[in-house]
Amino acid sequence: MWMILAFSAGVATASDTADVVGFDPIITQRCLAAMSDSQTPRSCIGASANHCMETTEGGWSTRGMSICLDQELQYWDKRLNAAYGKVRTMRKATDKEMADIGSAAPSQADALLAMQRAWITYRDATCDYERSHWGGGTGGGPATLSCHMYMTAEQALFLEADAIVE
Amino acid sequence: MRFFSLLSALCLSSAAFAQDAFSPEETEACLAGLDRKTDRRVCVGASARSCSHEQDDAICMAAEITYWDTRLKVAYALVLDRSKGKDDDAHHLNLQPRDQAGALATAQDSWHTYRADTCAFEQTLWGSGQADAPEVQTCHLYLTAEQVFYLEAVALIE
Repeated sequence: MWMILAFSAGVATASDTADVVGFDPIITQRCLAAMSDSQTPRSCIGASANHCMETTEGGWSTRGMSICLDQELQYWDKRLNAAYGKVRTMRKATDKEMADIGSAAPSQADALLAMQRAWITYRDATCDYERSHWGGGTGGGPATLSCHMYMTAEQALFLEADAIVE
Repeated sequence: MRFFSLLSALCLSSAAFAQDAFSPEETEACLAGLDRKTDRRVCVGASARSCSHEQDDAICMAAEITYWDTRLKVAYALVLDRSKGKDDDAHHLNLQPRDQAGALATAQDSWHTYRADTCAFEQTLWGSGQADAPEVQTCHLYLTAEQVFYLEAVALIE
């Protein structure tokens, strides 16, 4: 999951993003749209961040990588939040329908919340572990961002698939 | 040492599978034949599908979940041993103290909770609401296999 990264500069902040010319989520979207049936959408994760590193001056510097990875992380985070909101609305509606007919079925919305909370703990602990490969800092910043980007994207894709089920 | 005892446990459990219709052979042959670009998840469940020609689906799925669970224990033990080794090296070489083994254990614990809660959510979505509903078994199977792929990849790099 972690990438080969050189040196740590810590986590990029929003103020860093003004000078990023190479980031465009369309690269990831195009990759997803062009997928064949045998391909996994996972193969498209990181496409925009990589394109950003390649096309931005200093994109392969630690700071450049951090900014590009953070941009794609933010993109997937928005998608995750949107998918989660959609699934939550659907599950709450089902819970209400079940309650209306007097069903004692366990709440889907509660189970969804428990799942998402467990996922957040799992994401943080996994990315902490990934960071530990880099010891006291070298590469740790971009590696952690990369980990967060991949895991967030995977959970977004998982919840988006769930939103399609009904 | 722990790795080898788990390895023999894996062989023993394979031997136990052989007594009924389940064998991990299909899954392993599928994985061995994949090119690097193909998603390894296409192979997950291959043995259970083959087994289900002769035996109940739920029994076959349970057998493949057991197979991946055992493989997960092996991969985890291997990665943990290496982490402990690196933590010890840092101590003996007077480098900055590190606790990668602790970070790995925390991550693995959190993964177990994540798997349980994710599959419990799946369980609420399906009519029967039973823990052995096919969709719940599928959830356990895929999440476990994915964690195996992750830890086995870490073991290769480390």
